[in-house]
Amino acid sequence: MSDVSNSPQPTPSNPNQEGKDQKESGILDKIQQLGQTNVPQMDQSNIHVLTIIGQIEGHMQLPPQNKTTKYEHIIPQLVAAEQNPKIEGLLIILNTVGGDVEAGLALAEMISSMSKPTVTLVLGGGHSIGVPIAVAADYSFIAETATMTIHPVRLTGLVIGVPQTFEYLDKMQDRVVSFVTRHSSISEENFKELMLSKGNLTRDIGSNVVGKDAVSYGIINEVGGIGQAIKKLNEMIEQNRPQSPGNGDVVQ
Amino acid sequence: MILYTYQAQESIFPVDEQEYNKQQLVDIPGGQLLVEREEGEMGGVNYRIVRLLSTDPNMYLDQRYTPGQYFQI
Repeated sequence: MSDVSNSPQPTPSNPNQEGKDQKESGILDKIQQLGQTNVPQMDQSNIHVLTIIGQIEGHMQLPPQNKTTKYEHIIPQLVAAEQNPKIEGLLIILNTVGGDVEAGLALAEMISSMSKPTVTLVLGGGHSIGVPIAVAADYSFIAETATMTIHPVRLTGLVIGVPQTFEYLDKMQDRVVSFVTRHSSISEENFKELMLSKGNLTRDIGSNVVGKDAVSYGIINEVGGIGQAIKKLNEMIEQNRPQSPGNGDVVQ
Repeated sequence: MILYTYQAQESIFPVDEQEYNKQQLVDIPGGQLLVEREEGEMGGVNYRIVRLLSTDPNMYLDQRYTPGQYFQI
């Protein structure tokens, strides 16, 4: 866009004229839609919010009727949030059923390696691969009624029935377990016990952990909602700000 | 027939390829919009907003990007 203003206009002919027409029609549309030409701009928020909802989509594109979180959308947003100096903190809201392990771990690693304060809030569900994402942030909240399903890694589709397939799955599961235990206070032993326990889920192994239990197991830091999450994030932003003593301004 | 399976629905009942083509992403300042193509009455094409993809919470208050609105591409 800046090119247009800088470049000396070589030919004041039709192309420019067309651009002008488009601009005018854009303004006309706005007048028709909103009754005014410019939409009031709010102050930029220093906290940005990332919602991870529905299924976490990996390399396979899920049908359009599925609610999905695509990593190719989330990763650039995380990069932008990390890079933009005006953004001081990131709130991640989860309501996910899980999904692709690789994509979920990629998001979790991205969130955990951010230098800005991050807070996650699990609403509704943070199941399966949502668990590593929920623990990836600096501080995590879970709504009282929210649940997290912890279960072993599964594979759908064609699988070659050889021992190597099992080993591959086992390694993948180890990556999930080690990520969760590194980023939360649950021990590997306890987490694996939850993951492999029988009788909690219908015809499946694993367990379903509700709000308070997730906190007592040490997976999540605190039970809370949006109010507490924003409050905590603001506190962390304050702590993260470079300390400016009284004479700091004088030097400049 | 009742089919009990652990398989995902889409791996048993494949979705029509055309369904994928209806939706597309449009870049807007500060984020992206997921829009769905709709055939208009006069043979024109309308794009209805399905979802706003942005981390800026203020953008969700902007009426121009409210899901369900028509969007000019």
